[in-house]
Amino acid sequence: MARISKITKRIALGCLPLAALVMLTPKPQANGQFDIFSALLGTVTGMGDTIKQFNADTAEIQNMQKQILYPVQEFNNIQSNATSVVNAYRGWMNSVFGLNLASAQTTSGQALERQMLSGFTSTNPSAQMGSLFSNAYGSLPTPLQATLTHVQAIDAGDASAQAGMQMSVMADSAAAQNVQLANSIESEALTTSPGSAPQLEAQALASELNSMAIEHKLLANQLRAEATRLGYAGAEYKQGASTSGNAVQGIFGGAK
Amino acid sequence: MNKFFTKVASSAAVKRTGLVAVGCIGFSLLTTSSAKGQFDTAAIMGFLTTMNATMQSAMAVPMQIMQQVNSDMATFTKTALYPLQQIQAAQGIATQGLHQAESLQSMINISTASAKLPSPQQLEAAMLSKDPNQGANISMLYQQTYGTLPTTQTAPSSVTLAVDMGDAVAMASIKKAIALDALADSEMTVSQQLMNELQTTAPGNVPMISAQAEAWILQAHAYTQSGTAQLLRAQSAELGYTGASMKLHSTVTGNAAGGLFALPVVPVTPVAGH
Repeated sequence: MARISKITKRIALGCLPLAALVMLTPKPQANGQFDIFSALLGTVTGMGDTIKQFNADTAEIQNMQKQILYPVQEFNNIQSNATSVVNAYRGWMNSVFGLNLASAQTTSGQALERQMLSGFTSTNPSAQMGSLFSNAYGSLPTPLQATLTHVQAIDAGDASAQAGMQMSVMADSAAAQNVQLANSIESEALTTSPGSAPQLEAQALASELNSMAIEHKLLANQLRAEATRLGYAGAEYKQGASTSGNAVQGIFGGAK
Repeated sequence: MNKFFTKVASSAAVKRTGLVAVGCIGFSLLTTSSAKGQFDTAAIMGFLTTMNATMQSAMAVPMQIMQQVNSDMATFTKTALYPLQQIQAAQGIATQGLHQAESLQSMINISTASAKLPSPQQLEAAMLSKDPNQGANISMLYQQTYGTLPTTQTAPSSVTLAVDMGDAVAMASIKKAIALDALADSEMTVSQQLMNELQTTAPGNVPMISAQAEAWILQAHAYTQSGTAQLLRAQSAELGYTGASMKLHSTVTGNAAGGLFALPVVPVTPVAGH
């Protein structure tokens, strides 16, 4: 019996450290709370790192914009160079463009020439062109003076010539206005920003299209003049053939 | 085996030992401290302080820098790249260009007709009509004004051929002139439309209009080339006439030089324009 009691005591003493171990071991819930804080700190730190990287990228973009794409110093240089170009050329070119071309000596010639060269300052062709033209180049022959074909050819030729002269007045006027607009665009370019420069470029392109339309009008007029010139030549052959029965004779004088 | 376990389990000593062990374990369980960590204010404050410091250093400072960088970029964009005043000034230039283009179109379309006789008037009206459909009438109107081809009885074939070529090129030139006038009107209309858009278009979208304008300009260059080609043909036909005249003279008189110096039937004129 005493032996059994001794064994019991030994077992009881052996259980004590086990009980102490159980008592001192922290509860698992407490560990969980601390893990959440750690995770939060980790998340915040991670966000901070992301923001830092974002900042680095943004700063790089900003630096690229300011230093490589749109360096401000270069703006100033470009505008300064453009100003130098304007100062060096605009006045001189405008004076050359406006040079007086008149050189007729007779009164009628001077009157017609004055009208033909009026486009630099006037915007409209003159209603007086017909009389100015006939004063300088004469009137149509009468039916007694020439055949109908001749008179018609001369009438068409005179009309084409007058149309050309009127068109030249309008072309000069258009040219003067285009120079003015080009100067305005250039002046605006002296102070514009890189962002607005494409606006001016687009305006110049649209105006260029308009200018080319006027060139097409002039080209059309040139073609009409050439057609009239050919018509004159053909009429001469035809008239010779019809009046003398022999075009060859007409060429040598039969058409007169 | 079972007998052995039954004998051990029924032993009083073992029972006593079991009771003591259960008691010890129960006592320890009852007296073990609970999870006090979740209610440890000091620990929580410590963590919060750490977290606050971390947020200050890791997030607040970089975010302030980010704000500054973005602010700098916004300022640079607004004041250097796209200042509103410059945008509006450029749009003002578009308005000026539009008004000028409208004025030019009105001016360039003023009638220049001045023929006096009926046939030349009709031909002139067709030539200045800007109506490509008038091309079908040009041959008839041209012949009314300048006459028809000589017959085989009235002219040698060389003359008839030269006149035929001259008339053909002249009529082709008139048709091309009518076409160019019509095309020019379309170009003016489109040009004004583009300028109208430029009055309000944002700078970022302007290159789209530029691209359209560039395409139209390229097209316009093509029309210029086509018109110039016709002009070359007309000038070549004039040279052909001059040559035909000299050849004819040499055939008739046996002396081309005589034709050259004595018979300038077809006036030798400098080529116009180009």
